[in-house]
Order: sequence, then structure tokens, then C-alpha cells
Amino acid sequence: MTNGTAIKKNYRNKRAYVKVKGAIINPITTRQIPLDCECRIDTGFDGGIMLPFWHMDELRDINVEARPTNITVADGRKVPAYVCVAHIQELENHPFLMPGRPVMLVMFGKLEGVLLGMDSLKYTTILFDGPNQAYTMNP
Amino acid sequence: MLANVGFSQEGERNWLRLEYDESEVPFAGKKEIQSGLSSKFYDINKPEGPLINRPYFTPADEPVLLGFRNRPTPWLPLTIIDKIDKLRKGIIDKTEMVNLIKKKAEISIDFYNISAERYVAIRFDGRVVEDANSEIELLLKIQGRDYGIPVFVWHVGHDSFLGWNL
Repeated sequence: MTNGTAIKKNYRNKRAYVKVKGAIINPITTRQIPLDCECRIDTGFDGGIMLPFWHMDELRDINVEARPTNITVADGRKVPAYVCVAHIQELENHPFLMPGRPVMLVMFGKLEGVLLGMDSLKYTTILFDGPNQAYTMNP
Repeated sequence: MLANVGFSQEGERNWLRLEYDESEVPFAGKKEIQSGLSSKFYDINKPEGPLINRPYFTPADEPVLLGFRNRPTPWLPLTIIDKIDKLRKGIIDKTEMVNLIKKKAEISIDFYNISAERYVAIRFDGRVVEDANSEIELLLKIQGRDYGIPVFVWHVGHDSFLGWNL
């Protein structure tokens, strides 16, 4: 975690946030929708990025259908959700090779913010420094 | 607007004449009755504003609606076909949706004898259209493709595709 690409960032409201840039791409037509958001890091979430379900509507603009499935939420309930692939192209201004890292995008109703889950972090090292309310990330 | 309602009394036909305000009667004067499902999904619930900073829905607000064009005629049990038809009409609730996906996945995986730990994409008429070793690989295969009937994804041998899988 000491090389030049390490990113150090303070928590906000006791939570770790990271800026994410990417795109949802239709591989057949290459049309895409940009994704630019600040995500809360959630190590309890298996997926890549979680967004409110109404983004499904925007996917139809590029002829991408989010696929329904069942997911298990934190209280153990099974609920329907919609999934597709997004490509993360930047994490906190650290770029990845195009078209980016493919991650699972989950669309589900109740969210207090956009979440970044473990599927997005499978190639990333993160050190959480609780006492100093900061984290160091090596994308 | 006036309306005549007929009834017979001891062999004699009488007419009851009703008068009502057209504005109070739903769909009065309209040639087509709209289902209301699309407006529920696209207009009423969808807030305005930038993508990320919108207020959020509660799970109860979230509709379950898929883009079926035709009623599927699969080889599945009648109870499941009825559920698919409800889904096509947009009147299925979330619990029914969860059970439908789970039941359908069980039947299709058993029929096609798919091994555990595979990720599969299954049409709502029961046909498996793709499978893969990982969820990303599967989603990349089916992204942007139109299979005619909506497709759901499943992790074979698990209770759900994502989350605390047991």
C-alpha cells in the first residue's frame, strides 16, 4: 500500500465513500450510458454496484434489459432485483484499461445511497483505519 | 349525461332514468381504457432530478413489471403458467415473483440436468438460453440480447443469485 497509486481518503459521516466513473455498455450496438457517482463502500454486499431500480428505465435507452433475479437482503428476505453488467473505468481518478472492469450492477428499490460491493473490489486492496476515520485504497 | 337502466316488474318493463356527472365516472366518454400499469411505473413513481440524488423508494413502492409481448405457451405446470400470465399483465406481487423465479429455476435446472454452481439465464417459458461459470461471464453473454421473452438469471444450487447464499 505504499506505491504511487495508493489513495488515502477520510470517512464522511463515519462511512467510506469512493468516486466511481464507468459506463453501462450494450456490447452489440456499443451504445452506452455513463455512470458517475459517489459510492459507499459496503463490504457486506456481494454485488458490484447497487442503484435504485428506476435506472432500469434508462437502460432501455440503449436496449439493455436488466435481468430479474432473487437476491437475499441483510435481514434474510428474498426479494426480486434486476441485474446487468457495468464497467468501472475509474476509481477516485485512478483509471483502468478500457473498457474498464466489468462488475455486476444490481438495481433494487430501497437504498440510502449508491453502494460499492465486494465484486467491484475483488482486485483492490483496502486498509480501513478506524481510529483515524480514513481508508487507504490500492485500486 | 343520462343513462337508462331497464328492469321488469310483474311482466311489465319499466325504465329507471339516472342522471350523473360525467367527470365523476371513471373512463366515461373514453373509447379506450388504459391499464394504468405503465403510468404507475414510468410516471407516478419516478421522481424528477439527477440520477443519483433522487429520493429513494421503499420496497413496497417498487413495482414488478417486465416487458412481455406475448403469453408464453410452455411445458410448465398450469399454476406456473398462470403466474407467468399475471407477471405479463403486471399484477404479480413481489413475493409471488420470488417464488415464481425460484420454482421455475428448479424445474428448468432439473429438466436440463445442469450441474450445481453454474450460472444460468432462463427464459420465463422455462428454456435455458445461456450458462456460464461466473455471474459476470453470464451477464456479459446476455447483455443487450433480446430473447423474445424476458430472461431471469440464477445460480444453480442456491436460494438466490446474490447475497447470503446458503
